[in-house]
Amino acid sequence: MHEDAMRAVAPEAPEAGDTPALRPAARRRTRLAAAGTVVMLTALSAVWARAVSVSPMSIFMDHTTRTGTITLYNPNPLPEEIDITFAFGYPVSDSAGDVSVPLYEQAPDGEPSATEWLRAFPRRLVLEPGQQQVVRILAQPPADLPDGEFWSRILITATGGRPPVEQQVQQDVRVAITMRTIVVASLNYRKGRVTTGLDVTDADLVRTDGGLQFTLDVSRRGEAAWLGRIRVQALDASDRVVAEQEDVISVYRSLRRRFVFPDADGAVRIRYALETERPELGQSNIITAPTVTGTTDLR
Amino acid sequence: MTVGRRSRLPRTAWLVLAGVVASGASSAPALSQVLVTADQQLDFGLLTPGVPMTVVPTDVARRAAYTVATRGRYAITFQLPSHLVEVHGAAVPVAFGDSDGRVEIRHRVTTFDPAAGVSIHINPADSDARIYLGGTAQPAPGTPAGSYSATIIMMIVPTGT
Repeated sequence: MHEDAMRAVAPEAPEAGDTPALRPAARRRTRLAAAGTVVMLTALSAVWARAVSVSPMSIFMDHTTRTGTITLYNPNPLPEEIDITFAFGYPVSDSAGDVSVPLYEQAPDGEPSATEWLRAFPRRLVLEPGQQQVVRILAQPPADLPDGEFWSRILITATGGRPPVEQQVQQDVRVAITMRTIVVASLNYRKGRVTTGLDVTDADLVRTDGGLQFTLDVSRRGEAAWLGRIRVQALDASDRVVAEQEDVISVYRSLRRRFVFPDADGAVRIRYALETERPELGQSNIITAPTVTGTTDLR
Repeated sequence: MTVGRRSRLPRTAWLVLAGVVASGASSAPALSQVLVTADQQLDFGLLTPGVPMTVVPTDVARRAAYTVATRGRYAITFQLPSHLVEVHGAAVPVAFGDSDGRVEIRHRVTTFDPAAGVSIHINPADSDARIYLGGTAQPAPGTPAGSYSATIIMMIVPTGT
């Protein structure tokens, strides 16, 4: 359909340069053609668009039930081929405090990986338009699994269930580009009683060209990931708040976060608080720990 | 809410509610949910052997377009093809420049290198992020006729969980 429509639209294009000399009737025809083009392109866009919804994005499993679920939904008019796989990874930061999640097919030695003993049912499926599908995640851990928290990432790969549209670029030369998306959800598997906590290992406050720059280094205590929120307030000499920021933060090993306040004139100090508060993940899934607070003065 | 209270509701009411939640009928994305839409494929249009064809990420008709509806902080990365390949082995090189990526979150616009990816932060007040890709196809003189294909993979990873 797309290809046919592209052929139908293409002959109109060379006429664009002639528009100023067109008679009124021709102008009307041109307007109609232009309107038709817009309608066709809009319709094509709507028909071509593909989508998948994944919920939730964080799965918490325990050794008692050993199961979890993800719900997939396809709200668009084309089918999606879905493939579920697992990889190992967790958030890490670079020297600038930028956070990424490197993914590994096989977990590095010594990491508490659940990847090897997780299975998805179904692992492959076609999500028809309007269809919702629950995917069950089952854990089959080794019998001698010690107490602790084990981590993995679930990769939900979606590919359009029809061949990509071929664009006619020459009489007998065609180009087709497939667009595939991978949504990555987190998975935390817990056995026994696990704890978490945070230590601030370094904090630094400087003024840069970009504004007041606060850098915080933290490392995790206990066996489980620290999932929470950080609130940062820039204070003036009278301890009045002149600017503040807030963000979610997850510490699996250690992490650096950087906050820049471009409009914190007069600020000389930072006050921060790290709390295990994540209602969007289901607060009952969060292992609580004492709130960590502190202040850092401008260098 | 206890199970006892919940069971007093008509069964159909819960089914309807479940349907509404699942269908994303609300304009705001549910918490801890991601809806990714591939809206438009990268369209190089008419290629002439020997003549590079560039699509910029502001080209509404031809750029690749995705919508990510969610909240929170995410890393977006791409696996990009280096060539469009024909079944008999012929290839058309494809290049992605350091400003061929574009993110729009409300009125905030960020240009990025698709090879490096981009971090996005969708606040509760924002409904989604629009992600666009451009690129350049470089058909060499004498490129043979055929069907050429490639795959662009976009990966969305939450960095806050």
